[in-house]
Amino acid sequence: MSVAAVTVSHLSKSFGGREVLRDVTTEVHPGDVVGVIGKNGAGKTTLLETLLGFSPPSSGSARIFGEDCMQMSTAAKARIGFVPQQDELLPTLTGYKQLALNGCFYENWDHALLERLAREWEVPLDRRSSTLSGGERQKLSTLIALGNQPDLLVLDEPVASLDPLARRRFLQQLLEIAGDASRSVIFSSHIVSDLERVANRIWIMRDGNLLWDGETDALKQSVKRLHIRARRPLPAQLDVAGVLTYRREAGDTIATATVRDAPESLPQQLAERLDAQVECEGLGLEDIFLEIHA
Amino acid sequence: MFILNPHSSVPIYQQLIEQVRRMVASGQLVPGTELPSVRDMAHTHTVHPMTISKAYSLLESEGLLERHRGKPMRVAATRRDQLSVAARVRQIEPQLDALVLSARQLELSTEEVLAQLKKKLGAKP
Amino acid sequence: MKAVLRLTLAYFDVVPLQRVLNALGVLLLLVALLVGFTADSTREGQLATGIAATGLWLFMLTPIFSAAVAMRIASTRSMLNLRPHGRVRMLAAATLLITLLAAMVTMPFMVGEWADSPRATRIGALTVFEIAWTVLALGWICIFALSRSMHTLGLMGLLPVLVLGIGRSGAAWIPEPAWLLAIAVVAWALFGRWYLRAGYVTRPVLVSSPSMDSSNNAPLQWLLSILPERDLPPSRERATFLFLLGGTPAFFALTGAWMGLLFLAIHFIPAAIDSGERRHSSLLQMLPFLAFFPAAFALNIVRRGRMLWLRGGRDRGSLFRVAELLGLRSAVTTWAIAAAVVILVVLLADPRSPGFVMLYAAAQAAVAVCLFYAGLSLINAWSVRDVLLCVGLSLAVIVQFIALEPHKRANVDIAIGVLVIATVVALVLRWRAARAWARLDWRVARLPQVAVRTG
Repeated sequence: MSVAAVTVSHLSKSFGGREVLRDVTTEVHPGDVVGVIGKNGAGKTTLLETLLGFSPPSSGSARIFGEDCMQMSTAAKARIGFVPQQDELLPTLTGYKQLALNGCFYENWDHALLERLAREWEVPLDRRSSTLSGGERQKLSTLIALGNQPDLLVLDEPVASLDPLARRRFLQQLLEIAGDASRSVIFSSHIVSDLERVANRIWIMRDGNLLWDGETDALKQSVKRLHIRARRPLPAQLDVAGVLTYRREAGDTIATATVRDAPESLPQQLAERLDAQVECEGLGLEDIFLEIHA
Repeated sequence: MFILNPHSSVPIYQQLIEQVRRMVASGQLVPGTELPSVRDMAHTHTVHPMTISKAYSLLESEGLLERHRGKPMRVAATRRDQLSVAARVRQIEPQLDALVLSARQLELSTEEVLAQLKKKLGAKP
Repeated sequence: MKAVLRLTLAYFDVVPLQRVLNALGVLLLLVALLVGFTADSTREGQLATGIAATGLWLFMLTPIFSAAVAMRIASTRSMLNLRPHGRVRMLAAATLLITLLAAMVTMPFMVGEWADSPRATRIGALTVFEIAWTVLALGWICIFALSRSMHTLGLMGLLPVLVLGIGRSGAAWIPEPAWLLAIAVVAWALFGRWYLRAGYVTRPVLVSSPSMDSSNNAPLQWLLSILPERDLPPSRERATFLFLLGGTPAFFALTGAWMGLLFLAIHFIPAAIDSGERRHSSLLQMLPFLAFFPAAFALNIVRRGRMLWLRGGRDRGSLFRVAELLGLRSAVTTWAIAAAVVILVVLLADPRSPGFVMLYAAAQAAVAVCLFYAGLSLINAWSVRDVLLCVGLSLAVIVQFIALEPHKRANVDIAIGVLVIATVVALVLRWRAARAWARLDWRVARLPQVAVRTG
């Protein structure tokens, strides 16, 4: 078992009495691409910024490369790349200067890589940042984060302003990093379909809780939608462990339920118990997300 | 060569496994054919390389693919008639499931279904 | 009608800071009322009026400068498209706001008339209202127009100077203030007509990046942007400086010079009819207000610190030391240059007691450093303790400004006292700031996001 890149242990964070993160415990291992999904206000940005040390935890701890997030050494910080939700571009500088200035802080800055990517991603480096569009700014911010070839790349909504073509190029670059088994990525996004491709682990945040922390494949295999058709009226509540949603229609003889961690035998059991026909359907990540928040 | 849908409810590695199995069983993939490298597949389909390598590893353990050091994965040299009955039966599993479901919905008895099935299987193509 | 009222009130709550300013304003008004009621001399009456005016000024500060820009932002196609009668309502709210602000400016004079203060009765409340309405309306139109592009935005700094200048010197020409009001009303009507008909209102140039400095620096940003950039090789020190402070050393020197010139302009352009000695001492009295710049600057540094957390590889203690070192150096540079300009003019005009002038300047410098450390310790988004600190310090600055009148050269003792007390308080605040940075939370201490992040 390789040493975890990130270890989060019972991390909680409150702002003036309002709990934004509740008892979050998880790990990120080298080679992982973790996708963080959640509604606005679920605590995604707070989680990412707290585990990077921008915000002192109210309780619990987060360790990056084995070091406490608030006391990270310079060496540890040099291995991190971060793309914040609000970019940190200096308005009067051109792209070239931004890259050069950021490069001053790191020893293994790869300027050639960044120039190549800037060409591929169509980021104009010779114009001042204040004249760039929202998408170009995001791309430039991402480039800056990639320059020091980080072992841990954390991105907070990095593709919100990008068109599908730009997003695809970005994902491909991310996969280049993912191919290197010693580097990890944590990436929060609204665009669930991107995460479905690229992330091998998913964190689902809801109201500050880490609702799901596991492999994407396992998540898809775990959450199932059941279509129940009975002869007699169905009960008001479904007595099954892990029910996420349960809706009855058409005179209470037809129902749809979403169940989590359903055993293989569940459809059969339910069919016998309710004297009904039960069909089992798998769900894509977006549907799973919707059902969890229904 | 392969069609992978990341948005399906079926995990990507499973889609790949099933497609390889089917193509080998139907003869589309001839023994000795080289499959694209993990990296190339990941890039082409824009998916995580780990999911491709998981599929390849599982297929290797099933005996369908073989690994050669320094070279991409190759379809194993098993003859089609050597493929176990179990493996081939597994290929029609989805259709059988669908048949059973329809039969139940239409409230047909096992005997009625089997009788019809025998008639179909016995009939000349 | 309710929507219009709501819009008008919204202008008093554009930025969270306004709530603090509004609260402070109310506080000062109450203090003024108290002083006014218990006043038994015209001097105290004047003091009450002065405090009331300051309180009102706090209320009006943000709306005066940012309301027009806010109106422009709210009028862009993306925002108003879906609202029926959106533009009519915006215009009505703007008109109401201008009238309200003009009334607020008139109030101290009304109170003064009621309290029989000589200065107030000389001018007359109605005149004040007319002039205020004119200035506000024309100012609104100008700011609305200027906020269109980055280049014109730079000219915004000249606006108050122009207003004061034209106002004071043009006052002799206009026979009746009512004429001014008429001109303003016509201009406003024309503006309103354009506004209601304009097909497309451009989005103002306000960058969505958190590293954009306040619009006070806009003229300099513009100036620096047209100057050829020296191609210095990027170094870690330069990078640290730029990220943490938001400008180059040249920028801070230039800011100092600009501020000094602005003070001179505000002082000399109006043909003020004061006695010679008072005139130049009142120039010197602008120094205390220079102290607020380091405070605002330090506040910005606290929030910009986040940009060096990962990049710079430093821990919070080390970041504080860097922030203190570079920040103080730059703040002092700006302050010193601005002060030097002022002091030079004062000494040239009246070279009698340079010693006292220098002492006065030293005392104000200490106050400025004090406020710098205060700003550096404000790590929360305005907790109660922070607000009290701000109010306390602001009052202290105002009090010492009143008490230490430079034209009374005998106030050496007070000057020394201010110097010593300010130094001690600065050290205490430094200790507070150092402690605060150990638990600095950048999710709480955030830079204001001005423009909405749209595609």
